[in-house]
Amino acid sequence: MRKTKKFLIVIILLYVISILIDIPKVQINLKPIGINFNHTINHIAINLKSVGIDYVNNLNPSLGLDLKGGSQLVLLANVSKIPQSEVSSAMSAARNIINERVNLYGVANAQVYTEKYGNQQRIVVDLAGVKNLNEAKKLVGQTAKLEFLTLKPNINLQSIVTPTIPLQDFNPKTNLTGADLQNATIVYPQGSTTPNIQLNFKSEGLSKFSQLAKANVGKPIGIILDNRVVENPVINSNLASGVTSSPVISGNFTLSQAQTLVDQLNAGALPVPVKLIEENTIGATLGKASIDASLIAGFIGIAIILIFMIWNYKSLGILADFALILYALMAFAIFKIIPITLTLEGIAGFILSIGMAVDANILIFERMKEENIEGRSRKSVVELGFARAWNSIRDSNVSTLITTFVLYILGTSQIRGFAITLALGVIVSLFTAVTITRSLLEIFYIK
Amino acid sequence: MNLNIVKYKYFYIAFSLTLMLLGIIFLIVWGLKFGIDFTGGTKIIYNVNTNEVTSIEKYVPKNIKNGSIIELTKNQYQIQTPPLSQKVLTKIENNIQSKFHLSKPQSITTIGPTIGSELTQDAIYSIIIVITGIIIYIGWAFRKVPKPANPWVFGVSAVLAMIHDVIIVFGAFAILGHFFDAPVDSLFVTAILTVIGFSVHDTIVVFDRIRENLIKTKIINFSDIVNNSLMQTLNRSLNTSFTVLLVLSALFLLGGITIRWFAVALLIGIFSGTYSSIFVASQLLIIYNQYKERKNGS
Repeated sequence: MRKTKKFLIVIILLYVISILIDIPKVQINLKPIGINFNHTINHIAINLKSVGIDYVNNLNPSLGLDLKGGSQLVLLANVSKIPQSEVSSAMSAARNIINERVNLYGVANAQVYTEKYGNQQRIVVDLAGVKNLNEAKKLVGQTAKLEFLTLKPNINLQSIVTPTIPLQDFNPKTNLTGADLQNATIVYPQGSTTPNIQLNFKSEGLSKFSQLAKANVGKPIGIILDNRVVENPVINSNLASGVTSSPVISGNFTLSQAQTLVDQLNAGALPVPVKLIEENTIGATLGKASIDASLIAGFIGIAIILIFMIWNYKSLGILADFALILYALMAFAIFKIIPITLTLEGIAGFILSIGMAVDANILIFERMKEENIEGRSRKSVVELGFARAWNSIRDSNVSTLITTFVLYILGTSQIRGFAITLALGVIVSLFTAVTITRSLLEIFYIK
Repeated sequence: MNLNIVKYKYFYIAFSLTLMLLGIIFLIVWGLKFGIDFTGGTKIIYNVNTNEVTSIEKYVPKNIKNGSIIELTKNQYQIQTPPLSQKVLTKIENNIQSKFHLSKPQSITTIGPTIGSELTQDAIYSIIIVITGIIIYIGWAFRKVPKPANPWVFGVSAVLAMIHDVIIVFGAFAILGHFFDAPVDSLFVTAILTVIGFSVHDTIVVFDRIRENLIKTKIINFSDIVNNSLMQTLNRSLNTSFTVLLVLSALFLLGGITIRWFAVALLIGIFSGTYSSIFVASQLLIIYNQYKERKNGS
C-alpha cells in the first residue's frame, strides 16, 4: 500500500514537472469577461548557476527552418588537397571565416556550422531572415576584400571615441591590398604569452608595405575588410628604415581576439575551397502554416487514440490514456531539455512514436484479456499480462531502435530529425507503458 | 473466433507475388516522379492571389526541359526546374513576380546535381544495414526456438515480408506519381524507412507469440501453432494498425501540403505491414517448415 502511494506521488510529480516545462508562452487577459487578470504565463527555465554548475537552459522550443522560416545554404568543401590530420582544423577555420563574413554583412542570427555527411565535409549556413538572400549567397562563396589604408591628413586622433577609427577618416586607396598578403598567423614574442599577429606578405607585398611604413611612422594603418575597419595598428618608429621580415601586430589581444583577427585577415582566402550545393528558403508564412497544420494533426491524432482506447478498453482505457498523455508531455519536455530542433520530419517521427506507445498498451491489455480466466485474481492477471506482453514489446521496440540508429548514423539532417524524435519517443514510451501504466493499474485496478 | 488462416497459404503468397509483380511493372513502365532531392534543380512555391489561375503556366520558359508547374492547393503553385544558372532562375522569379505583383516566393529550394546520386546511395546503404541488423537481432532473440524451427528463418521471413511492403509502396507511388504527380523525395525515403521499422515491429509481435507457443506446446504441429498464434494476436494487430492508421489519416487530412504524400506513403506501407505479418511472414514460416519436413521424410 505504501509503495503504491509513493508511485502515485511520483506520477503526479512527473505530470507537474512536464507541464511546467511544456506550457508555451502565452498572455492571458481576462478583462473582457470582467475578471481583473492580465498576466503572461511561461514555462520554467533551468539555471544551475546557484549550485555552482555552469548550466543555463531557457527551455524555449527550438524550431527548424522549415517551421520558423529562413534560409539554409549548404556549402561543400573540397578537402582533397588537405592532409587528413588537418581537415578538421581547416574546416573550423573556414567556418569561422564564413561566420565572420555573414555577421559582417549584418545578417542577424546567422548560424554557421560544419557537418560531415558521408565522406563530404560541409559547411551549413542557417539564416533566420530571408532578406537579401542573393547577397548572402555571394558573400559566403566569395573572397572578401581586404585593404590597408593610410590616414587622411588633419585627423585629430584624440577626438575619436570609437574603438576603431571611422572608415571616412582614411584615404580611399593605397597600392597595398589583400592580394599582397600570403596569410596571417598567431605568433608569441619570446618570453611572452600574449599573442601577436604576424602578417606574411608576398615578396612584392612586403616591399609595398615597407614603402607604406616608411611614410607613416607613428601613424595608424587601417586594416579594412569589406569596408569595415577591423584594426588600426600604429606603425612603430623602428620600422622607419624599412621592413625586411614579416611585420607583427602587437597589442593586448586575448587568444580569441587574436584568432578572430587572424580569421578576418585570412578571410580573403578560405583555407578550403567551397561550393554552394544546396539552398533552401522557407517563407515565414509557409513555416507558420506547416507548424499550425502539424500541431492540429498531432492533437487530433492523440485525441482519436484517447477516445479509441476508452471505447475499446473502458476503464482500463482511461488509465492507459493517463499514461499516454504523460508520455506525450514527457517526450516534449525532453525535446525541450536536450534540446532537439523540431522539424516537420521530427514531428512526423514523434507522431509515429505515439502509435508505438499505444501498441505497447494494446499488447498488454489484450494479453490481460487472455489471462483473465476464471478464478484468477486481478493481481495475477495484471502480472501475467505484463510479463507475457513484455517480450513482444521489447523485441518490436528494439528493432525500431536499430532502424532509428542506422538512420541517425547515415541519414541527412532531415532524416536525422525524424530518427531522433522516433527513438526518444520509443524509449519514453517503453518507460511510460511499462512503469506508469503498471503503477496506475496497481493503484486503481487491483486496489 | 477460430479461422483456419494457414490453409490458403499458397494463395496468399501468389496474391502477394502478383501485387509485387504489378508494382514492378508500373515502376518500369511509368517510373517514379523524382523530386529535386534526387535530380538536382530548383523548386519555387508561389501564393498567387488572383483569379488568373490558369495563366501562371505562361511564365515558365518553354525552353526548359523537364520543368513542371503544378497547383499544390488553391492559389498555391509549385514550379520545378532542372539545375539552372542563378541568372536564369532570377529571370524566372522576376517574370512571375512582376506579372502577379508578388514580392517573394513562399519557398525556394535548390539542390546541386551531385546530391541526388549520393542520396540514393545512402538510402541503399541504410536499407542494407537495417536489414542485416534486423536479421541478426531476430536470429539472436529467437535463438531458443525449439527444433525443427530455425531462428534464422524467422529473421529472413520478417525481412522478406518487409521487402514486400517496400515494393508495394514503391509500386503505389509509380501509380500515384503517374496520375497525381506524387513526388519521390527525401521525405519519401523517410517514409520507406519508417515502413521498414513498422513492418518488422509488427511481424515480431506475431513471431514472439509463435515462439512462446512453440516452447509451451508439446504437440509439434507447426502449422496449427502458427494458426493459433495468428488468431491470438489478431485483435492486437487490428487495434494497433487501426490507431496508427487513424493518426496518419489525421496527418494526411490536416498536416499541410508538405507532408501529405509522406502520410500517404505511410498509410499504404503500414496497412501492407500489418497484412504481410499475417499473410506473408507467418505463411513463409510454414512453407519452409513443410519443405524441411518433406526433405527429412524422404
